[in-house]
Amino acid sequence: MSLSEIQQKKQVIESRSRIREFVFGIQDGLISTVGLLAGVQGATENSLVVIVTGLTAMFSGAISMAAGSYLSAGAQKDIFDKEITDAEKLAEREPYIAAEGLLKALGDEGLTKEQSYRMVKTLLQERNVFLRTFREKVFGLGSAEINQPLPAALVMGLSFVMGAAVPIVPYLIFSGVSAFYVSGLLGGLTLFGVGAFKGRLAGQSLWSAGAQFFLVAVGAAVVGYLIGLIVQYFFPGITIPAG
Amino acid sequence: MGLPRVGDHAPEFSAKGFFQGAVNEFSLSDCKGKWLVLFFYPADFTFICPTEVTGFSKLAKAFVDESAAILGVSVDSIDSHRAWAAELGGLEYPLLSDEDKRISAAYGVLSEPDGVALRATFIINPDALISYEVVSHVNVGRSVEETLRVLKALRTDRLCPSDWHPGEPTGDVALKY
Repeated sequence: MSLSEIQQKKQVIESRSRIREFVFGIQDGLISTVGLLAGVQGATENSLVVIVTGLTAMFSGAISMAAGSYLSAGAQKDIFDKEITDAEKLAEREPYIAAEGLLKALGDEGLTKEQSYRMVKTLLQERNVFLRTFREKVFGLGSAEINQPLPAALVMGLSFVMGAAVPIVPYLIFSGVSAFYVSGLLGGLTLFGVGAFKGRLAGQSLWSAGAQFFLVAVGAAVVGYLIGLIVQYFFPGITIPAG
Repeated sequence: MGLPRVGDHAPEFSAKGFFQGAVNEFSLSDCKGKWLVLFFYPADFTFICPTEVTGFSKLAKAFVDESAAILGVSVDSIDSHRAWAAELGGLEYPLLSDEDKRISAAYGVLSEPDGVALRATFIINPDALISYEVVSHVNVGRSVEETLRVLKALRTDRLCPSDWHPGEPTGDVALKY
């Protein structure tokens, strides 16, 4: 790895932390929509109803998930910001205690007392560097841990739409059971692909990571279809397509 | 083991110590016939301890003028003391290594949870009896000036009022109470 790549690595890591929202969004959009469409398909033969239901669920789900991601990331950020402020005030108010805390943290990571002392003594010469190192090492409050609310919400919402769109598209082309099977197949392949993509980023086996996502999707689709059958049982007027 | 009381015979000890480039054995019996300031501190290479360790070093001559030796004790190794003394620019008294924690335990100043000595200072008279002792929380450094003042007061062998300083009136011990 070159020096410039190392220097850019921090930004890469921070952007890759968006993987959480991306995976969550696509997975939830895809699985919830496959399950929903399977259920609606199981209860009715009207493709238009399935498509409208899917699109409604896609947009409302995307907005809901984006809002939830914004609020949860915002809550975490607010709490972390306060903890960071408190950590810096502690270091200002009790410099000896802060220095001792960092000393211990470095010792816990494997440095000798002498090495830790010299490192802390050097850091103390530059207040901002000391404070940043203090909060990262002693309290674990690094910038990669802090999720920015707006980007998190955007990634979540767009990922949800992407995931939800995949099982809806076949209903625009096919009808009846065929649409259902193609929707399920596309959904499964997409989840496998997302799992493999995650596996690539995480240095894992693409096959096992992809298979994990696929198995979860199949389970959700089966449950969705079963719900449709149950609906038909309690509302006998609704027919299920043969095959 | 509890804290020995003022008036008790100071617990015997013998340990390796580092002083000005050399490692030697130091014991209580070596100090018989003169005053001894024995102070314990938690650890080398920390940010609160150096102020006391260097404080005693800066006033070491004043203690020598009062016929007193100074010995510093912590549970660190001799090698750690060697490096710590160098880091502090050299010290005017020995640092003893109490790695097996026996001395700290004998003087009742071993902090069990941390495995280090508390901040404690003992002034031991020429007959090896404890004349003064003070123990504080590890977070609070001691006053070296106060230790020197107390040593001077003890050496008068007379009654000394609160905050007494050399040159101020003292009283006949027969007048106490």
